[in-house]
Amino acid sequence: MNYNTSMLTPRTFSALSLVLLGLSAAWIIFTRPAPGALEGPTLTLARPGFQAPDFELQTLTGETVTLASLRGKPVIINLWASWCPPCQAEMPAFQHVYEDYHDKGVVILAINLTLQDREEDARQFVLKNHLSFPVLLDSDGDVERQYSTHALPTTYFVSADGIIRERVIGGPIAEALLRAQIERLLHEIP
Amino acid sequence: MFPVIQLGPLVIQTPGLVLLLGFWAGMEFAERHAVQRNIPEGKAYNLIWVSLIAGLLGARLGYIAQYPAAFVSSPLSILALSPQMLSIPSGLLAAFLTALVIIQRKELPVWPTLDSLVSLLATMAVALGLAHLASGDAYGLPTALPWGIELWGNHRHPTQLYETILALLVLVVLWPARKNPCSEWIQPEGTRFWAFLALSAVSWIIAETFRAEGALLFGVRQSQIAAWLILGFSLWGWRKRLFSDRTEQKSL
Repeated sequence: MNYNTSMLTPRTFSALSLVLLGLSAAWIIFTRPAPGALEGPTLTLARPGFQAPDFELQTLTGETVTLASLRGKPVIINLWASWCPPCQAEMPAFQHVYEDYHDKGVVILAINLTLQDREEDARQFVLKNHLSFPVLLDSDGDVERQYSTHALPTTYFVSADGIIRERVIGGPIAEALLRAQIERLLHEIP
Repeated sequence: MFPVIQLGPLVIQTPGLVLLLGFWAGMEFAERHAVQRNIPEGKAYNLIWVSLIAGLLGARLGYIAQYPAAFVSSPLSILALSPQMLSIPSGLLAAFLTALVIIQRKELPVWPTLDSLVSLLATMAVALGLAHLASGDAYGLPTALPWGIELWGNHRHPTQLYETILALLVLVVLWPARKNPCSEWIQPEGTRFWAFLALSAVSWIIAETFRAEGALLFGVRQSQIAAWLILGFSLWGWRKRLFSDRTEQKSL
């Protein structure tokens, strides 16, 4: 098939290509970021790549837990409510994983959004499902706000240096995903 | 930013929805443009669907290969509908190889087929920009410019919008219309494909300039170096296809 390429010769195409390559190389060099301009994970925000917002909550057994005190350990934060069917469905997977990885220093914090739930219902749910990891009560909704919880359940995987590596919105979460993410977090520890 | 749409108990991830709509529209365009290039009806659909399925399977298998121990204790998780359990490089490789095999076995014309697939790829690039806009990913550096947006605690370059606009421009420039002023450059077989790669590389170089994240190599962004190399390679391929008729005529 013949096309009218009379305006365009191989030589002009090559010349234009070289100009384009030269201009883009110059663009890359002259617009390069200033030292330190690119953001590391220094900002605090409840999304992957940022520092996980700190909190201080009471467990069902009355102990106080802060996220900052767990620095140095991989932490999985699960936001849940006892009335939420996917939350109910995924809790056994958290328990299995907790039993397997607790000794390796992995921490699971199940934060009950108590403003949307009832403490007694949460307690009954924990007893019925034999959950042995810490269950925290977000009684005044601070964590719910800080973590901009759009949907339940939501799970955050926080590295030993406090950075959110992954966020899973909705559920039930696959047990293999929990295990794979934990392996990844453990692998990151120097 | 609208990362999720909640309809009662149903949580829809907006970026996923946008990508799905982009894929559907892109597939329609690709099929239509394939028929215009004398590829039998339905062939482009089949190619895309089978490559997509192979890509998803490849992505899941790649993830399983990365974390085999995680699946030993819960083998049913292999079937879980978790987008987080996909390895993107494995998926892309599987989809690419499958597409190559189908093109060969079904004896589809390689360059017209690749030219038709540009409609899908260019539409997906627009959808990706919109998905980033919905999720807040690929966010920009802080700026004082008036068109900056408030995001993640700062007034920032709207890099997701830059990305979307540039992808839209690429889509419009490469749209196979008769009155397209660029048609002379993208008419010969294969040129639309190479032009897409070249223009996407330029878009990438521009959009990356304003992003807040990234890794550096010798003080410049690694992603821009990769895009620059792709640009050089695609310009070479574009030139080769654009003047292939003349070379053939000369040799005759």
